Amino acid sequence: MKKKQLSLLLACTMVTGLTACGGSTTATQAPATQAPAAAETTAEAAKTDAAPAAGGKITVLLPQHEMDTVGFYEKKSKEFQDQTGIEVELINMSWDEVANRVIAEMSSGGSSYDVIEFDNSWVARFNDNDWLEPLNGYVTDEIKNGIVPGLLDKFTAEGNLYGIVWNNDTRFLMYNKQKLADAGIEKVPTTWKELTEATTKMKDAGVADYGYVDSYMQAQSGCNEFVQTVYSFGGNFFDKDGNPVMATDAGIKAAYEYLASAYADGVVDPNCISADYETCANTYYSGSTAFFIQAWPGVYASANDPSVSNIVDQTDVAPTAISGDGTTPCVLTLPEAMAIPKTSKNKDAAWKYIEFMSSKDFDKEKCETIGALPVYTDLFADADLLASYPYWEQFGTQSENAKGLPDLLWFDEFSNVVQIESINIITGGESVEDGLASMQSQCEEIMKNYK
Amino acid sequence: MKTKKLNWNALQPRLLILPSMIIVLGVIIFPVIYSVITSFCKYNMNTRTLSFVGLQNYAALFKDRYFMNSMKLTIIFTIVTVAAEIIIGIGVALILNQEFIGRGFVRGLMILPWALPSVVNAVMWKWIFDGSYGVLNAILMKLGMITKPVIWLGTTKTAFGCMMVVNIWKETPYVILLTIAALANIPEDLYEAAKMDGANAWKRFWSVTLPMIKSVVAILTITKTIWALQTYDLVKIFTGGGPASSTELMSFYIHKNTFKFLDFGYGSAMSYTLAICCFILTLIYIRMFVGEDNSGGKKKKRSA
Repeated sequence: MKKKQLSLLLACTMVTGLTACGGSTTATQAPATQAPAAAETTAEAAKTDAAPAAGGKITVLLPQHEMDTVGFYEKKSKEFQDQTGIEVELINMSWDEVANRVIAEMSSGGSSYDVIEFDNSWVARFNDNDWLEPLNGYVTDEIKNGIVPGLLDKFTAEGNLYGIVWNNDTRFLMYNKQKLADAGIEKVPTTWKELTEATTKMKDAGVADYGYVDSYMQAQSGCNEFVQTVYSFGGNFFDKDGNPVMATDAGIKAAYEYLASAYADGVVDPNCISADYETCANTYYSGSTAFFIQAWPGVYASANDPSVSNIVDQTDVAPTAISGDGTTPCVLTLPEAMAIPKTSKNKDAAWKYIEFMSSKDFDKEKCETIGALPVYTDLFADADLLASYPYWEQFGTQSENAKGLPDLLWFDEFSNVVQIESINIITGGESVEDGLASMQSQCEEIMKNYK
Repeated sequence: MKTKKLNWNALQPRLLILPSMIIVLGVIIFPVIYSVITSFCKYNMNTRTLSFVGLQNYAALFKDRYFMNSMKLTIIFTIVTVAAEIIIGIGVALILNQEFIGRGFVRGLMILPWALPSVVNAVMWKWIFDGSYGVLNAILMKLGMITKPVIWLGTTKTAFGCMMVVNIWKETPYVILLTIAALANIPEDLYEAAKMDGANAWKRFWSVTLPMIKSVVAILTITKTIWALQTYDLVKIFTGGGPASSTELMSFYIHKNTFKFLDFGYGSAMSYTLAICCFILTLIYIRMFVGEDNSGGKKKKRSA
């Protein structure tokens, strides 16, 4: 009998325990997707676990800023927490990891995050699925009138503003002035043809192994590079009505003909096929190449850091971006924003965080501390910042021709097709014509699923 | 009164396992049933609802050239890596089963690749094969075997070959470990009897060693095949599926379709196709290895 009573008691305890463990999701519950702690940084200090903050708690999921090597965002999140009493759990991971989590969270209707990464390539999909809270009612005049208009427009769909830019991720053409001088090249190339000629001279003079290296690995970075090259030849993947025109557009054909010849002739480092951004930067810092076609702003500082670079004091920013015939220079802009999911239970606190992290003062401090590009128009001409970063003047001129990625509901599928077919074309697996025709037919097939 | 007592006795164990059953139902059976249903449906992101499309998702698999490519690659990858791991693993285990100085140390060393986390292994080999900075190119150039760096991960054939090498390097120690354990259980007198019958080393391996470790080899083949079919992390870190999808195995492609393209119905259909492949292969192996033993047993009984 005692055994029975004991077993009954144990069963009851177990059931009760299970029931208690499966409590409902609340705003303060830690996200279930927080497992790989090693890969992420949680800025919110563990010491705050003991007592809930007076202002509530928000969970922020953002990629690590590529130039933030000093924990600037963590520090400012802590500052926000101290000022407002709103507890902040800041989760930083690589962009790919964040993308996986955000997409999974949004598609499952979860409410683990209050502020999320919102990439420029997601706007159509997020708008179509109605996943985000429109910020029109929250946005302040300072933000609305101060941030570079094109950046906010990028995160607006059907009149609704969905994201406030936190990272003005624009890429610029940089070059090794020493190598050009050593090869007797006086003018910085402005066309791909001039760049090829300069590469030949530098290789002949023995000052560079290749003209440049790019990240063509099968990842989003690969798509970015191909899109930029196509734009620089005045080409486009789609017509004005959004129909794929890869097989007929003259600019895209010229771009891929150039890419294939650059690979075959050793203008681009053949390691590009498997290179990620980090490898590209390391190759440039090693002095093996002379041009960095799509360098992020931080490359300039790193190239002058003797602990990671062999080319200290040799880098300069080109006055204009590269183009096919000199008339269509283009740099790629890949801005990232902060957004509030519709499922967030702490929208007001989330907005307070976004507002704090998007103020002009914050932006200036960010520029001064980590050297990132500002998002506020005025700061490009700020005397203090220009004194620290004189090369921003060239950034400004190159930015005049900045373009973003195609805004598609099916962007990830498009990106996948571009990544695969581009490599087939470049490495000679397919002719340019066949590869582009295949690209177009695949895109048309994908589009049928979205009609 | 007696009946009541009997009922209580029958009820009690059921009550005790009820919490566990609820957990099993919640975390295993329900997701399985739900994903089977999803594989016959189209998932609407806006309304988060499923609409039935019949066998459309399964039919689409055969028209999807990337899926067919990933299936072909997965089959090649599985056959080559499992065969290599088993053959090399048994060979090395036989060597390590011999008496020699430092055997314990070497055995410990052999387990190192398997003990490495998959992510570390993939990152390490990615650097070894790097076209610009890789140690493999440096060694081969020093030895005069190549005159300029080879971009190992930059061509479709070499990238896939490199990925198989990495998998074999990581997974073979597990075969070695289990085979050594199986070898230790073979009675020495069997070898002595074989020697007395004039069997040479090769004959002893075929007639004594292999039959005695057959069940371990069967288990290794089954588990290794299933693991090879499920390979994801290596692809993700080592090549990202490139260049030009030449290393895109099924698990990676399924993940991409499901969680990047958000096609949950199609992703589920692919997952079940892979699961069915695993199931069929396992059945074949069981019939080949275990079935043979059972029929042998029956024959013996009948003859007795």
